[in-house]
Amino acid sequence: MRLNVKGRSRKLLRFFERQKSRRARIAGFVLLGGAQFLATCAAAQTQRQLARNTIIIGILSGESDYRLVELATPDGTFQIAGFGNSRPFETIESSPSRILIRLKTEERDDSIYPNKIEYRFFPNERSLVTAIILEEIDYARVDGSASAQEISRHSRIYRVQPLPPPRYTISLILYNFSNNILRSRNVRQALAYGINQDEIFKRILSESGADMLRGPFDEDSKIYAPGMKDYDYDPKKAIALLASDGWRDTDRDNILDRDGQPLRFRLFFSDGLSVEEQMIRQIKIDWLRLGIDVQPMPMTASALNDRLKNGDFDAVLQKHRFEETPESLEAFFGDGLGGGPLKYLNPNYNRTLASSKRLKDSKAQTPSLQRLQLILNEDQPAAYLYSQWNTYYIVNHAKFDNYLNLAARQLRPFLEWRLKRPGP
Amino acid sequence: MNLPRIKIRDRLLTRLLVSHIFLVTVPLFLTGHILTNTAQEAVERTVLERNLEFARRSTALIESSVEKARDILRLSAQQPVFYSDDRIGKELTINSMVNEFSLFKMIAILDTTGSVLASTAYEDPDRSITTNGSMLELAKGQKHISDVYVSKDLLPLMNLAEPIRLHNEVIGVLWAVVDLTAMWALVDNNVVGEHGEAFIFRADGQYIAHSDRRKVYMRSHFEEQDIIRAVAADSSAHKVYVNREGVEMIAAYAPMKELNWGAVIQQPTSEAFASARKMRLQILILMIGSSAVAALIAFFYTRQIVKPVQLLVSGIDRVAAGELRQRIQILGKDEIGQLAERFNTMAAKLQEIQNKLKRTERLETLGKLSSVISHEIRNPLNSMVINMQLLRREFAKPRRDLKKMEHYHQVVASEIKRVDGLVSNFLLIAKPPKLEKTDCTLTKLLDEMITVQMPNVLPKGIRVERDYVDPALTAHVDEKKLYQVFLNIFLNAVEAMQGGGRIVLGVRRHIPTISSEGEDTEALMAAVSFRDTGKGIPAEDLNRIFDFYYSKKEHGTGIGLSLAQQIVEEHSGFIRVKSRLGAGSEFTIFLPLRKPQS
Repeated sequence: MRLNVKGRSRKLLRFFERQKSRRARIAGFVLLGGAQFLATCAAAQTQRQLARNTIIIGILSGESDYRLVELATPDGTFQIAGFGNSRPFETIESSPSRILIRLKTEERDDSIYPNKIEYRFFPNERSLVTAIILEEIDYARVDGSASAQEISRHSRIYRVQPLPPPRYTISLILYNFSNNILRSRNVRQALAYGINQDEIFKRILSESGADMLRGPFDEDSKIYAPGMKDYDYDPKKAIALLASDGWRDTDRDNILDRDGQPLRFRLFFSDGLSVEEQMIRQIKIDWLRLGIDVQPMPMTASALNDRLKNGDFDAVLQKHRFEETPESLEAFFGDGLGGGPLKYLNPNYNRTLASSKRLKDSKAQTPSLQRLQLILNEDQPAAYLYSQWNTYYIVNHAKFDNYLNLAARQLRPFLEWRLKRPGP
Repeated sequence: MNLPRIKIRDRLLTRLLVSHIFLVTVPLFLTGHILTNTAQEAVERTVLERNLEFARRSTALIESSVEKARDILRLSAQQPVFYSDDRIGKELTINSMVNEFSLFKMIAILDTTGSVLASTAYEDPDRSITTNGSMLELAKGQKHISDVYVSKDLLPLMNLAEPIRLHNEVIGVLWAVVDLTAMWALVDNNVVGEHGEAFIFRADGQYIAHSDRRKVYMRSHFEEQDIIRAVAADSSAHKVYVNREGVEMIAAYAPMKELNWGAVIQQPTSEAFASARKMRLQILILMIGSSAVAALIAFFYTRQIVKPVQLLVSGIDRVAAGELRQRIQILGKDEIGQLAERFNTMAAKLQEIQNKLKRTERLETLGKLSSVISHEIRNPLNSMVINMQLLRREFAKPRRDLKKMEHYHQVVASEIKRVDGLVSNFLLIAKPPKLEKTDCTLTKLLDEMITVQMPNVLPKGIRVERDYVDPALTAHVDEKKLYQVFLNIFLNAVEAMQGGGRIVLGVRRHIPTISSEGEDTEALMAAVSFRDTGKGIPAEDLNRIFDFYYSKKEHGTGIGLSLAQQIVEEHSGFIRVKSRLGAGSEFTIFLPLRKPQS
């Protein structure tokens, strides 16, 4: 008989092994085995009990910066990482791969509502889908319909609910105006003409619920500015624009150069998001064909945020949602004084932004916001790629209810979710 | 005549029924058995062949997709861009390949030492490639196909490599990581039935694609060693085995020789052969149903055959019991119908003979009676002559003794009365008056008699009891004569119990012993019984008690029972007597019941 025991149990096992009587040895082994079995059951039960009252949320580390993940509570919205006694929850554990919080709200009934939320961060969509299929997490969001289909085919405990994202998110490539190459409007416009958006939509986004973009707001926005340029794929125009800026392949290495400097820059993007990886590859091919040597570099959302904050980037593929306010635009496209990471400098834009900010009425702001869009469309401080209007929410339907507000077509806050099988 | 009851198994109906059912069901079940077996085999073969075909097709598709990847790689390796120093051209080419063919997860160009010259990988290219010594082979110009391995993010991958040659000299390697997740969709699409599974496993049994994706993610292994060995031996077939959960599975498997993998499509046998089993069940139900219908038809058909036989037996029984007027209804023109006809003819002749016998018997009786009467009358006549002579002599005396004369006169008168009685009885027997029948409740008649007789019976210590099973039984009889019958038998019983006793009067409907199906309502009779606890009748006298003037009693006339029998017979009835010496006797009068009006 072999028992996998440690510490005191090992001593007991040796004690029983030393017994001369065979009956005593057997009785000892049986006792020890039984005790070990009971302990294992109790541990498993505790683990189950712990998991039972916890919402386990799966998040892609490429999509969300673990430091910036927020939780909406009746007392307001708080970042879950870090510490602070004023928050209605306490953070038990916080690391780039896992954050565990315990809710402090005393009025909550632990037998009905979960009392803990665990955030698990996954390096890529595949590992997230794997964890979902292995039923290790209770909630996640995936963008691709293929992943959603795979989950609904391979696990029966989840409800796969297609809904618009909480806020319409747009995808865009931001250029750093500190970079000598990208500071040129001709280069930025050439880059816009050099992206084969049709190919991206046909090959990558056809089933993702996405629309093409011309500016920071999608066409459904109330303040959408009509008359913006399309920047349809036009390599000849792109080459002409670059040539007008002095970029030519003088050394015949198929990379444009100017004054001995090749047209080369780094493009940072979130790691582990298959749509973005594919899109980056298509953009790389398109730009290589123009003679632009782009070097894609994947990283986590937190690393990406750090680079943006420090201005340590050439270009970044980023997902963002702009509020329909001048302040929201300023946060990205403001000059260095406004805190914008791009260090975007355009006096016309700055004047329009300032006049827009002075207006308090949102209706009155619309014309100025539309003018700002036209400037941003013309100036291309960012290449606007697509806006996403559909995503798939995966919820452990066997464990929770009251998680969906169908009338509002959105999920309820986690604190309103209820356990399906209330505990003692 | 009471024959012993026939056992069910010996009855004609049972025998015919059994033979009919046997003749119908045995061929039916044999045919059904052969039919279901053949059908089940056919269905099972179809299921197995279908699954096997799926497995073979899956292997062909996977092999062809790997082959396609190799072809693309081989053709691409011949492109001039790979001989040049054009890094951008190389990068553009390999990125376009990855972009165009989703099969490739990554493509890299290596030099002959294994260093990465260009790669589509976003991370550090050197980290993404592990050549594991394959470069030596590649440098010699050989192709490279790795085993399937599972990446960190649990994707099934394999490496393919093609040498890049310039003037037959290997100058580099085109290295590709092939993403085999496409075969996951293939196995998903090849799942058969609700509980079926499709999967692909490596030589060591580890799943690399499974319709239950968790088994891949958990790096589970296929455990059916026979199938793993068969696949390794490049064999494709099907096998029934019991899996770890104890479910019997039917697995169709096919090998992928080049890749050293196996594809299996399996299903629980209960599900795979459900249609065959359902069909078998349906045929079984149909057979049982047909057999039941056949048995029912056989039963009615047999009954049609047996019923006339039963009627015949019943009729024979009644004739044997003396009811010669009984006729059997002719039910058909078959042999049994003919038999019934012959029987009726025979019964008619028997009745004719009986009537003749009765007439002869009556003449004989009259002859006997005449001699008895002449003897009986002679005695009183002698007495009368003597007394008349004595009367005349006394009358002739001068001193007549009136008392004597009165006595002589009384004797003569008494003898005349006696003769008158003899003559009256004789007339009753010789020329019975015509019956005046009315509907009469038998119990009422008995009760009337008991009421009259009770004053005579009680002082003798005799108890009269009634056992009326059918108290309302009504017969169409001559009430007065039947009263006489009841009275005669009752008085006989009373006389048999001089020391007191018990007499039980019963009335019931007589149920014939023959099967009721063959019974005619006309044959139903009323049975009126008189059971006493008297001294009983010796067995040798039982046959003579109904003879005229036969009596062993001191003052018996020998007429009462004869007269009773005669009256009952005139009502088409009969009397049965059972007696045990010292225990008592039972007289039962059977009278035909009136046919009920429909």
